[in-house]
Amino acid sequence: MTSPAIADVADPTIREGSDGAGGLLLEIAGRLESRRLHGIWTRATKVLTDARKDRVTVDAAGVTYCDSSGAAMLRDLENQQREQDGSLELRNFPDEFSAVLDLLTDSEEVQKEECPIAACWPEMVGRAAVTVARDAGMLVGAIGEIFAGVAHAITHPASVRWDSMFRAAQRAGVNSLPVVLLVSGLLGMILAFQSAPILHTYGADIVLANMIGLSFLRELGPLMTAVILTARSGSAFAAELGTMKINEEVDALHTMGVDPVRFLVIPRVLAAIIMTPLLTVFANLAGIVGGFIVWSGSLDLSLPAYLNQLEVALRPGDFYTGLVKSVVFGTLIAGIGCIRGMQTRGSASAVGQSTTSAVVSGIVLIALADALFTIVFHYLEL
Amino acid sequence: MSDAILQVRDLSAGYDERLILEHVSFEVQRGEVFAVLGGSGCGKSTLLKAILGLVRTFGGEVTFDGQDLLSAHGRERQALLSRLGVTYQDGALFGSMTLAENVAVPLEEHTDLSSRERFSIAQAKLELVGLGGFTTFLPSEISGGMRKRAAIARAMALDPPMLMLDEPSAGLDPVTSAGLDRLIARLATILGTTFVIVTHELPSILSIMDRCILLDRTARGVVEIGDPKVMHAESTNRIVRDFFDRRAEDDDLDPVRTERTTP
Ligand SMILES: Nc1ncnc2c1ncn2[C@@H]1O[C@H](COP(=O)(O)OP(=O)(O)O)[C@@H](O)[C@H]1O
Ligand SMILES: [Mg+2]
Repeated sequence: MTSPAIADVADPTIREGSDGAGGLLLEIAGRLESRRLHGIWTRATKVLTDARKDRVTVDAAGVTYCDSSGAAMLRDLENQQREQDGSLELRNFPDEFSAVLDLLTDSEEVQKEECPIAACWPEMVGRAAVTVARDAGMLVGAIGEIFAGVAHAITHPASVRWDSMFRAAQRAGVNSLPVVLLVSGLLGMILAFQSAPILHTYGADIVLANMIGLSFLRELGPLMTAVILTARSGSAFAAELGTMKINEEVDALHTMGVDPVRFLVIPRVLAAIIMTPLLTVFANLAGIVGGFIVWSGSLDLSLPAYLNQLEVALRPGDFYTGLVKSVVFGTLIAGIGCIRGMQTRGSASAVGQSTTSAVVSGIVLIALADALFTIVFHYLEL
Repeated sequence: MSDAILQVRDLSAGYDERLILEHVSFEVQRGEVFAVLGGSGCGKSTLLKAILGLVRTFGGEVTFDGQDLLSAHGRERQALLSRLGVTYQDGALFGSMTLAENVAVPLEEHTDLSSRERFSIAQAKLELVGLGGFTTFLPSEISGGMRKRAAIARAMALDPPMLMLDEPSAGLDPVTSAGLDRLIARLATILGTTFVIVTHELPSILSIMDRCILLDRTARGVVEIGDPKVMHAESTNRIVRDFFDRRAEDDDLDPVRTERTTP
């Protein structure tokens, strides 16, 4: 049971009839308040559309209460009638509530805000096209700005906010270590486990070490690390900067004469540039250890044999190409995260969109860059 | 039986282990415009949230319309709260919804109205606060003062018997703010709505309020309750004198002097 004031009162009623002169007469009675309007409103709407009379009279003599929602209903019925080119007359509305109707008709209490003119569709198409073009341009510009900033940071180390860089490195890098180790270790085991039977059929068990070592150093180590960092750090950067943007903290930096790119973006990008190769090394190790677990468990071969085979199979170039990749991946991840964060506009929900967009663009950029590297390394015979 | 719509008895509230308010008691009569006054940070918003059970309370009782608000649970509590319109200090509009959708949320939850009917009501409520042309706008696309007013429209969606507004006129220009005061006075007389208005701006509200309560940070609670005009003219309490004299005479906010209220 809710309060007696509400529970004890019946819903308002409506009765239709003729006004004696060819018009429609609606008699409404009871309490017109938001919670009880549904039945009578729907009914009245149906009667009005079915009857399609030019003249409709609403007799409100039986109304015992009317709040501003009730007034909204009466006004809506009048509008419906007007849309059908008819008229609606309200009769016998109790004087004590007529002020409620006035609330809606002359709400000049609060100054009315003028509504800006809405755009028509050709304008919207044009605007969308301009937005896309501008976004692409902005992306290129922002990437250029970040590279310039990083170059400046390297040549002028004193200008870098190192404490903020180390904090970002800890959050983005060190804290990602467990998940990088776990995922790469498992991946190494899975890869070895899937290929061991086939290799065994051809009596090529020993090649397993080549396969694991090469695929992790050249491809899987950098790639897995990059994907994990995109999900973990790229998104975090976008969310952090996006929140600062909508809280006008970035504007505050501007007005204090502080360059937001130097203050916010460069430390994060530097942190990613340092941490991604380091994490990649750990990912490589974990993958190789994962491979060894299967090597010794499933193929029953020894550790010296595994290490020996790795030494034969791998060249320093395999290791360095992986590291070069990971440096570029790290720059892309942090760069795109920061760019999406800085592009955030509007309200808190926009932060969520920037975060998603940072992850999606991050992964796409990594895949593109990886493809490019594969081609380049192939022709350079690295 | 007294005609109090809201009774707060011996309420203590705070955050974690920190008490902000101690032993606050007062009553709001049906149909009156009741103001909660006090300098910034004295716990006005906390009091409002404590009444609604949104912050931790350390004892005390809140009765709304004869029913215990703090111990109510589940559907009973929802039914009670649906008859209480609240606006929060920062508006608290849903950022992903248009203004009309925002106003329609309580209608969707608590009535059987069709979506067209809900929109009609939402439109009317927004017109009431001067935002009739903004039904399809997102909260991020309007100014802070307009967001305040849209929040009031949402609080009024179900025409609740009582509205609690946290700093409704902060951030509004004097003309709009005066208009809002007139709207509040008019709703109080026409619909009999009870208002509990939290504010630190005295001039804006002095003309329309019936009674007020003055909170203070050092007192951790109520300093005085009564008719503001009488308090202004006759009170001998130093905190009351400080509050009324400073704000009534120079209604600009001087941060240095405001801070000095706490010795
Ligand atoms: N979420 C919170 N956690 C801890 N302390 C808070 C929180 N919100 C407010 N406070 C503290 O409670 C006190 C009263 O705050 P508030 O009720 O917002 O003041 P007012 O609305 O009167 O300006 C302040 O000292 C503030 O620091
Ligand atoms: Mg407050």
